[in-house]
Amino acid sequence: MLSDRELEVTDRFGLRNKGFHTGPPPPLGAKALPVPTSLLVGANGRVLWMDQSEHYQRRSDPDYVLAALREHLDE
Amino acid sequence: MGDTYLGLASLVIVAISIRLWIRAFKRVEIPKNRGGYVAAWIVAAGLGLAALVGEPGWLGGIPAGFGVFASTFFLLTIVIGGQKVGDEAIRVGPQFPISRPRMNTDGRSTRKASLGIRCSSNSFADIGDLTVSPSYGDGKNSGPSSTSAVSRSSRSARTPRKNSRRDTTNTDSAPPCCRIESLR
Repeated sequence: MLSDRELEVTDRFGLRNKGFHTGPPPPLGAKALPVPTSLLVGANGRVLWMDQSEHYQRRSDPDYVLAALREHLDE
Repeated sequence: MGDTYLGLASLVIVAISIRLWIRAFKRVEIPKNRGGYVAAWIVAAGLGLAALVGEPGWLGGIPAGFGVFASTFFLLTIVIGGQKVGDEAIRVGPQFPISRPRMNTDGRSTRKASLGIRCSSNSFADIGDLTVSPSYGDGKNSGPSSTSAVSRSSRSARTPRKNSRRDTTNTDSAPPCCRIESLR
């Protein structure tokens, strides 16, 4: 688990939300939020699969992620 | 009297729909098509407004006001909740934007050289100039002991706790990649 309150890792992934910031502003909340993203990374470091939420109220369905894992790990 | 019923109906609709919404939210089951919820909140807001325009009295006015406020708020969260990333965002295909550990000439990684790649919950991972502390335990715990933190070369983040399952401060013996490697 990674706490990335300053969004330094988030920005390295380019996952900072460029849309409307729905959370409370600092100091109560963060200055921005990352876009929820599920990444599947291969042993060679390449990104094999990803799923990105278009809306903060939605997340990757667990079955959807498991299906992607099975598909890519069976390759 | 009819306006009072309109206010109460607004409250009932918004209460039921929000209850269902929160339950779905907790289960990560918010549907992609949220038309049902949107329709319910529009109806609730409409009924509440219709009640407030009339003479609902306090018995209908308070529920109507709450119904209008809550339904409008939840409609607003849907309208403004869209997210987007920039062109620099990570994509399928390219390399994961965290480098592998750099090694010394003797092939051993040093604390400063171990930039990036260890993502296992029991390993330290240095991401750029960040230090990621380990989440002690098997990753199933949700209590404070499993919480990790990011700090800049934080000494405390590098000090294993007594209940650590294994000492992962030795970067030479830790696996060179994320858990996903062991899955493969």
